[in-house]
Amino acid sequence: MNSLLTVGKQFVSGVFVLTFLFANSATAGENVYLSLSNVSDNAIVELTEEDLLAMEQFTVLTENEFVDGLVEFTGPLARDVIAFLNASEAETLRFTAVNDYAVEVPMSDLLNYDVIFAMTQNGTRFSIRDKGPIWVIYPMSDNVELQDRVYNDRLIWQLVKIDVL
Amino acid sequence: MRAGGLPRLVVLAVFLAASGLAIVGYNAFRKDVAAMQAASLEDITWASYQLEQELSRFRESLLQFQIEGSERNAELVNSRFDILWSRIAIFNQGRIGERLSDYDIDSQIISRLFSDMKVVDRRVVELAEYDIVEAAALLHIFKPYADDLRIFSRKVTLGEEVNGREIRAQQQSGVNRTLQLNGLAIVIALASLAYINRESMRYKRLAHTNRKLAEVADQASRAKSKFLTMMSHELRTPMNGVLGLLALSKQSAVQPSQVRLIEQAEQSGQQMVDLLVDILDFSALHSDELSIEAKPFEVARLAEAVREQFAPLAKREGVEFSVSVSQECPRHMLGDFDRLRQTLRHLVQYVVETAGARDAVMEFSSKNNALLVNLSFEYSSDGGEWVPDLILGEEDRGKESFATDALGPAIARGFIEVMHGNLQVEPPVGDRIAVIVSIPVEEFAPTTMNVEVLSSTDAMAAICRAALVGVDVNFVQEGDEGIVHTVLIEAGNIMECKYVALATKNYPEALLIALGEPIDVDAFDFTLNLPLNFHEIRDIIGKRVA
Repeated sequence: MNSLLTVGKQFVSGVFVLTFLFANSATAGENVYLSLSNVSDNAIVELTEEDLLAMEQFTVLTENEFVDGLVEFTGPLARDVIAFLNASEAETLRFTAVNDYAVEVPMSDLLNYDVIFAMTQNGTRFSIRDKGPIWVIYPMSDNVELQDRVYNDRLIWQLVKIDVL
Repeated sequence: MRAGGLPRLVVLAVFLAASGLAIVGYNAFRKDVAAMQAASLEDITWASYQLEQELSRFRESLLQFQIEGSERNAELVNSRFDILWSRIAIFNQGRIGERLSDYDIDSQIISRLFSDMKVVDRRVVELAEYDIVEAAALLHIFKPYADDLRIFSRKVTLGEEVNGREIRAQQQSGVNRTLQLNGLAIVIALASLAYINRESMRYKRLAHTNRKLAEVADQASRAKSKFLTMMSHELRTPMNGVLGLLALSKQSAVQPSQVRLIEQAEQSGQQMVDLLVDILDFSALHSDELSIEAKPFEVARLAEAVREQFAPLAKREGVEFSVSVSQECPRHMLGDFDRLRQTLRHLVQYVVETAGARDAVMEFSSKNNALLVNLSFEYSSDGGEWVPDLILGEEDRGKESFATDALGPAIARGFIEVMHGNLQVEPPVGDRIAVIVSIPVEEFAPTTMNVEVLSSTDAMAAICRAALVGVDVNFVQEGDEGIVHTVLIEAGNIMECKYVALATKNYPEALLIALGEPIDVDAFDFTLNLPLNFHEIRDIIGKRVA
C-alpha cells in the first residue's frame, strides 16, 4: 500500500496506531488528505488518500440540503478513522475545512450513527472544487431526527483536519 | 323532519364540523411547521457571506503574489481559487442552491462571477512565478465583484429577514387560527353536550312516562285476567250443577222425546263448560301463571286419549280419524301429559270442526329428543274454511279483534310456546295439508318397582293401586314371579303380625312400610300415619329401588 504516515512531535499511543505506524514508513508532508490530532496524547496521524481508500468503504444513500434528490455517498466510517487516535473517551471533536471553517462535533454522533467521510458521490470522486476531498455525511434520510439545522451545520466539506478536544 | 331523526343529524353535523375543523387546523399547522423547518435547516446568509469572504481571500492571495511572487504564493492563489469555485458550485445544487439563486435572478452577479472564473481558470492555473502583470490583470477583473458580492450578501440578509418575518407572521397567524378553531370546536362540543344532555333528560322523562303507562296497562290486563278467571270459575260451578241435575233428570221416568231435549241441554252445557276451561287456560297463558310438569308418560296412552276423545266427534262430522305411533318412537317420555293432550285436542278440534277436513291422520314419532306429532288432513273447501294463519297466529297478531274460532288454536299455540316447542304448517301437497307439532321431551326408561299390598280390605289395596298407578309402579300379588321391592302393610289391626311374618318370610329383602300406626313399630322400615301421603310412599320406594 502506497500510504504515508507522518509521526508528529510524540509517538502515537495505541496498539492499532502503533501497528499502523510500523507497517508504513512515513514521509512528512507528502500528499496528506486528512490530519488527525489528539492534544492530550500529543499524537498526530496523517492519512493519505490511499490510506483512506484502503479502509473498509461504507455507502450511505441520503438526501440533504446541498444535493438534488437521493445521492449515494461512499467513504470510510468516521468512527473507524477516529479510532486511529485511540480517542474512545473523547467527547468532542473539531472538524476543520481547507478554508479554516471549523465545527465541533460530539463523539456520540459518530458512535450512534453511521457517519462517513465521503470521498465519492454517485461513484465520482470529489474534487477540491466540489466539496472534496472529504465531505462529512450523516445518514439523514434514514434518521428523521438528523434532519435538523444542528446536523446540517456539521455536514462540513473540504475536510482536512480533525482535533480531539 | 321527524323529531327522532333530529339528534342523529345534529350529532352527524357536529362530527363533520369538528372533523373539518380538525383537518383545517392540522393542515395549517403542518404547513407552518414545514415552512419553519425548511427555513431553519440552513442559514443561507452565512453561505453568501462565506462567498464574499472567499473572494476577498482570493484577491488577497493575488495581491500577495503580486508583491512577493514565488511558487508557493501561486499555489495559494490556486487553492483560494478552488475554494471560491466550490462556494459558487453550491448555487447549482440542492434547496440551498435554489434559494441562493433566487436572489441572483435580477442582478446576475453570481452568474457573471462564475463566467469570469471559467474564462480565467486556465490563466490562474498557469500563473507563472513573478508574473506580476497577470496578477494585476486578474485583480482588476475580480475587483468589482467585491462590492457586488457585498450588495448580494446584503440582499440575501434583507431577503431572509423578510422571509423570517413572513414565517413569524405565518406562525402567529397559524397560532391564532388554531386558537380560533380550538375555541370554535370547544363551543361546538359544549353546545353538543348541552343538547345531548337535554335530549337525554327528555328521553328519560319519556321512558319514565312509558314505564308508568306500561305498568298501568299491565295492571289493567292482570285485573281483566283475574276477572276472567274468577268469572269462569263462578260460571263453571253452577254449570256443573245444571249438568248434574240434567243427568239426574234422565234417570227419572221421562218420555223419550224429553230425553232428547235433556241430552241436547247436556251437550250445550258441556260445550259451555269446555269453553270456560278454555278461557281459564287462555287467561293463565296470558298471565304467565301456567306451569309445565315433566312426568313420565306413555306415548301410546297419549295417542289413545286423543283418539278416544275425538272418535265420536269425527264420526258425527263424517271425518275418518286415525291415530298411530311409529315403531321408532320411544315408549315412555318425560313431559306434561295433560298439556300435550290439551294442545292436540285444540288442534284436532279446529281441523275436524272448522277447517273442513275430509279425513284426519295423526302420527306420533320422535326426533332429536323431541316428540313429533304430524296431523295431516285432506282439505275440502265445501266443509269449512282452512286458515293457516289461525294456526300460526299470524292473523290475530297485532289485531284488536279476535276471531271466535281462533281461541282453540291460540291456546294450543300458547301451550306449545310454554313447552318450548314449535308449530308449523307444511306447504300443501295437492289438497293434503300437514300441521307439525314438535315438543322437546326427554326419553324415559322407567325402572319398574314391584309393590305388593297386604291388607284386610280390598278398599285399602284399591286406594293404593289408584294412588300409586304409573309407569314406574307394578303391583304384584302373592305367588307372582320376580323380586318384590316393597310391601305395603295395613298396620294397627290384628292382621298386622300375620302380614309382617308373611312378608318377612317371602320377601326378606323387601322394604316393609306400615300404613297407619303399627302395633310393632320395629317390624317396619317406615311408618306412614293416616291420612296417607302417597308422594312420600313413591319417594321411599324410588330410593329403595335405586
